[in-house]
Amino acid sequence: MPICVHAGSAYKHPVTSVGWPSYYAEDYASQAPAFHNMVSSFICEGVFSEYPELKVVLAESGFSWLPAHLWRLTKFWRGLRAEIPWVDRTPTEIARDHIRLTLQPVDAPPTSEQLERLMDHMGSDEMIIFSTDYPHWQFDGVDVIPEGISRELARKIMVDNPKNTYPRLQ
Amino acid sequence: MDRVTTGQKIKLAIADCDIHPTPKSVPVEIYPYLSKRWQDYMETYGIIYRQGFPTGPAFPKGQPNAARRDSYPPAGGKPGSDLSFMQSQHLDPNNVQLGILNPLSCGQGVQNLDFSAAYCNAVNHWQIAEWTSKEPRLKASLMIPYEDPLASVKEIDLWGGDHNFAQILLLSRTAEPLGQRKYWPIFEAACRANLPVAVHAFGYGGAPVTGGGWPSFYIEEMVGHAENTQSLLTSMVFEGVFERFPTLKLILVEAGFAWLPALTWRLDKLWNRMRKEIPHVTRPPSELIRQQVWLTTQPMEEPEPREHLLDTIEWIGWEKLLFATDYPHWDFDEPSRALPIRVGKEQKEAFFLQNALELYGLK
Amino acid sequence: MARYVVASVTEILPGERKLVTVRGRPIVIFNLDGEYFGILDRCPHQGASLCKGRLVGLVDAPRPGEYSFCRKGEIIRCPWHGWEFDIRTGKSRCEPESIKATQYDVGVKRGSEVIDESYEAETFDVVIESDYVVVNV
Repeated sequence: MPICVHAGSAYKHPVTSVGWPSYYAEDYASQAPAFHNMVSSFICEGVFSEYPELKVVLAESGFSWLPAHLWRLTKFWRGLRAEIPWVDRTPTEIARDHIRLTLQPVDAPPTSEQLERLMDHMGSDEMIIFSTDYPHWQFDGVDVIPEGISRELARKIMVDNPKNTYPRLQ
Repeated sequence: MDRVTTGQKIKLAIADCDIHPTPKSVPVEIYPYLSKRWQDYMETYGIIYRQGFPTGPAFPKGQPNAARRDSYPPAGGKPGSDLSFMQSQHLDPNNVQLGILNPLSCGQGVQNLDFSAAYCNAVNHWQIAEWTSKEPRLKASLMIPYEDPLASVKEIDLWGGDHNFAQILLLSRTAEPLGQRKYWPIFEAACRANLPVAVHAFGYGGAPVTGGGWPSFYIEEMVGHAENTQSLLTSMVFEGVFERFPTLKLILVEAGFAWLPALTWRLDKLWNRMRKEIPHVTRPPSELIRQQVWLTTQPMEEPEPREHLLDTIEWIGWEKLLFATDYPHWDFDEPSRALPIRVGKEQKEAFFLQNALELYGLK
Repeated sequence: MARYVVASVTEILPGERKLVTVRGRPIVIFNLDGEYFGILDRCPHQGASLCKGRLVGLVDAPRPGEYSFCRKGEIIRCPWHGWEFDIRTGKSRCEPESIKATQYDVGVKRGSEVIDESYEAETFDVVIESDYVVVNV
């Protein structure tokens, strides 16, 4: 079974590395950076080296932040590799194999062209799994799948990727 | 545009918006500007930062002194301590027309606020005496004891008109999120002095370096600067700093930049949904950021294929980026190799120099 | 391709390195236990001089927390971003199949062979009885 990490906090630490925010909007915004750090921690600590069959699902904090984060993590890893030698291939490859993210909230760019480019930046069509976050209403309008995602990719998101992530669905 | 010939090559003139000078010797170079009382204090009690460790950084660095191994001056001393070596190794061969000095470990984030103020003042004197008065291409950062906003305002008002200084400098991990009202006197004084506020990665906020706690490894801290910076920027947006100070210019230094578009998309969406909680934010965050925020480019993210970075830069805006190398640190971005993608002449010149000249009012 | 004499063997002892320039290319020659290897002195990442880097061994880990160390002195770590290169093969440790430092063919020849076989030795007075490090560029 995969492990799902949902947005939220046990508030052991200030929710940001710069202290406690004043507003709920700020707290909610901080869930995305929290997932960046979580991706770093899962990969750098070697969780996937130790448990090569494990998949981790990151729920309800979007995915549009992921490419930039992996670009940075992989860049540094090339030279800092000896600090975490159990990471034996690029963090980007590890993420593509082991990490899945739920679709909503997309935190989408304003245009469908930009979203298409973003999906190209993801570098893999296997990482996103369909979600609505019902009964919360994360998306504008009634279309859960935003414009800019091709039919083929939509099918992967809605059918193939969830099946491959949750073996018990098969 | 001015060019310098180095052998056969003509090198593009650049700005370097993140150079780290360091004193050759604190007693020799800083003590002249520090009262005896504070000299004795340092020697007896040391410097106490807002962190649990009595000395040293929270994580060991990737190279000694976090520096390039080839940046040790031949005459001796630490990387970044020798102007003539900085000139011969970096400023001259890389055709740096404008270099912004960002001193680190120089009195900021220090718990003893009076000492912090005294040391920042001494470092401001030192930057002029040892650097900007000797090398016209360099500009200093106005160091302030930012956890004491009133003392910071005094320091800004003291130096505000001095053209040695291009900006005010803070570190990104502050005791409270930087948008909170405690820090507003600093922004007010910055606008009065017509100086941008630069916030450089690292710092001593006291909180763990990630929102999820203390990571185990230095690499996690290094990538975590992007998260810190996103948090401080979110705070500044939602606290209404940009609305309250519409002429404030913010520069985010050494956090990279590729993370910015996704953050603006998220913040716009939250702002749309939660307007009632934050009615003082009357314009979309993406608009505020586009108008009042700039970012230095280092450490430049490295997508594969590299052309993906073109999308990201388009989304941010070519005019928002300020080239920086982070000399002499190990994660240095080499000007001739850091942006290995074909871009138009105008965009290249903006990215490498013109944006900085414009922002700092040096055109 | 031509063959160049770059040093006498006594100039580069085991564990040492020397930076030479051949046909305009800066090449760093390493001696690993009596074997010579040559790598272009430009890191494939951003062009740093690899000669200024630190000679290290290989830190590996079969599992998180279990470290192994071998091949002491056979890896050169770039002085800037720390990328590790295997001196014997030029391959990076991080992505050996796609990231490599340019390698040159390096060997040792007797003075007598050098004189007979038309090696370029512009800066050397070749002595027949001595051994020389030669590079193919």
